[in-house]
Amino acid sequence: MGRIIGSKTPIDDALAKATGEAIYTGDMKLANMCYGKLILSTIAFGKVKSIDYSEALKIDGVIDVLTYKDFPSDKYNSALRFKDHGIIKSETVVSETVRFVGDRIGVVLAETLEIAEKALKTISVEYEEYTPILDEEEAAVSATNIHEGISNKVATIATGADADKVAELIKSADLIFEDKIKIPMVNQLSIETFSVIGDYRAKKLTIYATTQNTFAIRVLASDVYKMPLNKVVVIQPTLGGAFGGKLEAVTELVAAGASIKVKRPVKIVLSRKESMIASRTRNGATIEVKSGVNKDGTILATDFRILTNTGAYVGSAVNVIGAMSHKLLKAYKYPLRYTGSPVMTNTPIAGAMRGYGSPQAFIGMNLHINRIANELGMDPIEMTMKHLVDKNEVDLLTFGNPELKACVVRGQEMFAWDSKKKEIEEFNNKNKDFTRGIGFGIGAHGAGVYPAHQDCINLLLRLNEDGSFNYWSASHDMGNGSLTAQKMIISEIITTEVADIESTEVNTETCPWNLGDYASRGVFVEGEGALKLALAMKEAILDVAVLKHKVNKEALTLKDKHVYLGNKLLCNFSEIAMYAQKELQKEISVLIDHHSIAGRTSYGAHFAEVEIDKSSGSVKVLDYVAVHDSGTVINRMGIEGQLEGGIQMGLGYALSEKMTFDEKGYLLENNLKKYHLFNSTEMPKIRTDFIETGDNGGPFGAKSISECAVVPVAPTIINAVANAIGKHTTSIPISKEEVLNIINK
Amino acid sequence: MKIQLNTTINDLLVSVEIEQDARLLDVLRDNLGLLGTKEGCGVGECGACTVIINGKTANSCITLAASMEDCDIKTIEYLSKDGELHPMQESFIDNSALQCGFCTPGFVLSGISLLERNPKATTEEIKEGLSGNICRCTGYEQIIKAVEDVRDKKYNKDGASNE
Amino acid sequence: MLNYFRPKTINECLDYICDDRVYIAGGTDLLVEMKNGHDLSKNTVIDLTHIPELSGVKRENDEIEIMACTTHDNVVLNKDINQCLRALSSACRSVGSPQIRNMGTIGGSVGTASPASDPMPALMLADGRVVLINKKGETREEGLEDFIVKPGVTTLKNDEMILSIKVKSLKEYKQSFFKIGRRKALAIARLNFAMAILKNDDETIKDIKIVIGAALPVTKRFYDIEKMLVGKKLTEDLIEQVSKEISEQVLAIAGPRKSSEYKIPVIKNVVNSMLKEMEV
Repeated sequence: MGRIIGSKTPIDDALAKATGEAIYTGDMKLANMCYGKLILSTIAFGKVKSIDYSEALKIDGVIDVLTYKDFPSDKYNSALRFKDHGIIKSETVVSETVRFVGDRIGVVLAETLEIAEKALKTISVEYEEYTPILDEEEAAVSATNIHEGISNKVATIATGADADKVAELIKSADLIFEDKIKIPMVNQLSIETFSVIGDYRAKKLTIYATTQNTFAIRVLASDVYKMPLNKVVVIQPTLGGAFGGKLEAVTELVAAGASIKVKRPVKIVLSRKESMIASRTRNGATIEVKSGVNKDGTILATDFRILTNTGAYVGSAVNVIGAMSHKLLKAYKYPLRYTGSPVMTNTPIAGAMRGYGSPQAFIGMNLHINRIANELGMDPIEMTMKHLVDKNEVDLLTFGNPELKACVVRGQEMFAWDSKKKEIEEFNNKNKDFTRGIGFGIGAHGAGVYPAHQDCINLLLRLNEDGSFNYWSASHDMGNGSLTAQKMIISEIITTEVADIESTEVNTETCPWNLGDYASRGVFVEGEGALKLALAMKEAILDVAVLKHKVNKEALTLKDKHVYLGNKLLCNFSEIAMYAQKELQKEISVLIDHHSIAGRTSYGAHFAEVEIDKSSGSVKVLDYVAVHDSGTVINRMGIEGQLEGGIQMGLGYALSEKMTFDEKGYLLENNLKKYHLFNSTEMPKIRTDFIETGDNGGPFGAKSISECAVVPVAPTIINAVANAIGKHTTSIPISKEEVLNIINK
Repeated sequence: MKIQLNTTINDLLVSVEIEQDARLLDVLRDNLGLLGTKEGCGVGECGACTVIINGKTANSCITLAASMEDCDIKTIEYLSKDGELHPMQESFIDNSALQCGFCTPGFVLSGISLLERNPKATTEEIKEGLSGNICRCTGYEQIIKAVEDVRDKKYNKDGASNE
Repeated sequence: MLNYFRPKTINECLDYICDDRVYIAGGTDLLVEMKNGHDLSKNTVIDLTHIPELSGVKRENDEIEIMACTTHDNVVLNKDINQCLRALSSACRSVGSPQIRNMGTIGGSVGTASPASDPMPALMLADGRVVLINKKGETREEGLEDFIVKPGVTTLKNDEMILSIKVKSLKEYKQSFFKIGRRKALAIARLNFAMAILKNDDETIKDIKIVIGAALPVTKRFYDIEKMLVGKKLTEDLIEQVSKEISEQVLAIAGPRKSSEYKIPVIKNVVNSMLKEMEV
């Protein structure tokens, strides 16, 4: 732990948020602005025959109604990350062919949102309807292609151990275990819905958006509207949560195109229901996993196959399957073969969500191994531990140094797994109305995106005349505290406090280039950049001090925002800045570039105790322990909050959250009365800890937390439920109806 | 049809022309520029739109503005209108009981309200008092801690930490 | 909305009552319906929230009158109800969230006739009667079971409004309210139960009341079973028999439908454990 590194530091913009003064996109109003309301498809698959909006145009205050005829027909991929990113293009700004309930058909523009809403109700759309395909297994073999020229099964990625070898090993084992697990889509559900303002004037387009991917939105707008990149500006005001949902272009290009058309700023704010059906989701999945196991609990090999439901457009389909492909291999050390295919269906578009494929993969493996252990009469932890990667015995470059086993050991101890086992047995023997169980699960996720593609950032830091600093980082903080962590890293080096460094909003016109914020890059990549930047700033300050005080640079140090020569105080930062401006006629600012040399892997092991009311099947989580290897902890308060939030999200994944559809493709859980998020009363007491002994090459040895936090949660809970009811279950989320059903069987 | 609404908002007498069917949330945000009150769900489930009406918390997204005639409404902006933070705000900041911040104004008001009603609220009672507010970021631990710290009088009236 | 009225007295309110009237008693349901596209542009909206005489709780001997616009929270805080009808205090405490309890009202809950209403089983437990007043100022009373016809439908006439709900004190009774809801219990199906029991000195049952909500289209009280139990002791066998009988009755009325698969065994289990708790 340094002076600041490892301390408990509140998020840098806490004041604005606690007072309600933070300005989010939805709070913004521009002069002469009008409002757009999307016309969304009400059928899951078909073609628009006609749109009658004559009544809408008669309403006072309606400006225009735009449909596919008014927007470019150029195809793009909303998951684009950088210029010429070679991913399959299947979307258009608005569509004539509709492929899910919620597909964009057009937009109504009016003087107020209320008028736009009123006008929308008068618009009638006539469709030619086709039979929708809603399930990934069905779509994978269907003769009907949802997109002409693109197979529903978009691609197949196979990796890991050799297929023949795995088949042979499985055959040679004492026992063979097979599981099939169906996982529904879920929603990122940031509490802030999607908002955008497109503002086109004087041949320049500015987009204010709820996005975690400004520079990619800039490329998309430039490509679709054929504008030079320097004439497109994308700005991210305060972001009210994203969790991957705001990675892809959702409404940005609609607002941009509408503004180009009507020459006024156009604001579109999605309602909760619209945000749920018409943005992005976490992929649903069908997992088939088969292992050959010897009676002593050794798994000889596993054949892991997954079909993801990637929704109605290609989007992130292949990226998610690709990112998922190597995560299991980074946690388990025995021969494991992974085969994954994303499949398009007539359901909302799946995209990025916290964990990006890892939660589904680790649900599959944790549930599978838990069942094998139970059937062999082994402890699931003991069984799992035999197969986990070891510290110092992996490729340190791509793995980092995994402390996964240390996480398991520490968590097992904190949770008191062994004594709890006995307590539960006693409780269950005595208690007729309730039954308790304990569960365990592990997970892994990356830090940074390299070598999938380039992973770099440029950063800029300025020393002001009064000794304060301005920081330009296109790091899209969404409340996760990545900017706070970066400021802590800088502060540690240049001996300031976080509050001395003011960061700007992400603005593609004023900030140096960055990728979007995904793949848990905020600390491992961007934080490492911040470290470089701080070191460069330190050098710059010392260089000026050398000129100012005619001293040797080697003997100079920084302390408490002052320059020291040995123990002798020379000057403060303000004096440095003023000297530079007056005497050297320059500003002290540094610009650095940083690229990641490798993505690292972060690990976690989780433990839970649940209690089930046998009369109703209700599941209550009583106790929860999570131990993570995130490398060095930069901000203890931030990392705990991230982990606890990940656990809340994972508990929902295990017990209440799901997106299911009726036969016509309508989302059944389309508001927060039906889509249940865990509230404060449902949360168990959470205990967390971090193993910081791996030496991992990030800034001060830090890796990542945000995505990895959620990965082990759902399987931990399902395994605990299975333990409580004494029966294997792969139902996700597991409802009280299902629990009761299993108990009564 | 428009009507005139006369009511008290953050101690100010307000007279504002509103649509008959306008929601209180929209009047606060659009007519009065009180942007700290947020919309998260529109159906009274998430609590991002929480305000205090006549001393009790309510969801402004399902409150008819016209019904607010002669009421006493307080929003998040009320708390720091004199330039100083409320102890609950101080505690939320110090405990980092917020991440994206979108739900925070609602949580702060619910936290204040539950302690006003039950100054010695237990942890379970605090959780119950916050159950009408949904946070997707924090997992609630740090929020509960922030309310507990105010309950335990770690902040004096000026909002400064006593620790 | 075509017309919006915010009367200050009941008399003034009666003037506005007309065929297309819609009442606001707390607004928690109405505003959600509006959000979901319910068009009120041709309705007369009468806002009842500014009528002081429509709010509050009166007690006269064994009768308690809860005025229609009393919020759930004010029911929870009311001493008379805490003393005489704890099941109703518990039921109102379990409504939604603090915010919804501060807004939603007893009259609104009864008037919307939602099968999942939490106060309803507790009100029926106490022989709840609705007091209605018509445009002419005439009042009538109707038992809750007769008043609620089916989900969303009551016998409320176009020229009437709900004035109050009258309930009987169950001060001497042991009472219990139990809810399985979406919150806390983490799933879709909802059920709620209210029971009250009064025993003779010899531990036999002097009087018992059993109500189940959200299992059937309307909340149901099990009079025949209540009658059968009077004079008997709640033995384990009898409890088993009663919980079986109740769940079978529900199944017979509801018919074999998907939700019954879950609800029927749960009803049996919960009735069983509630009766056992009562016995302790």
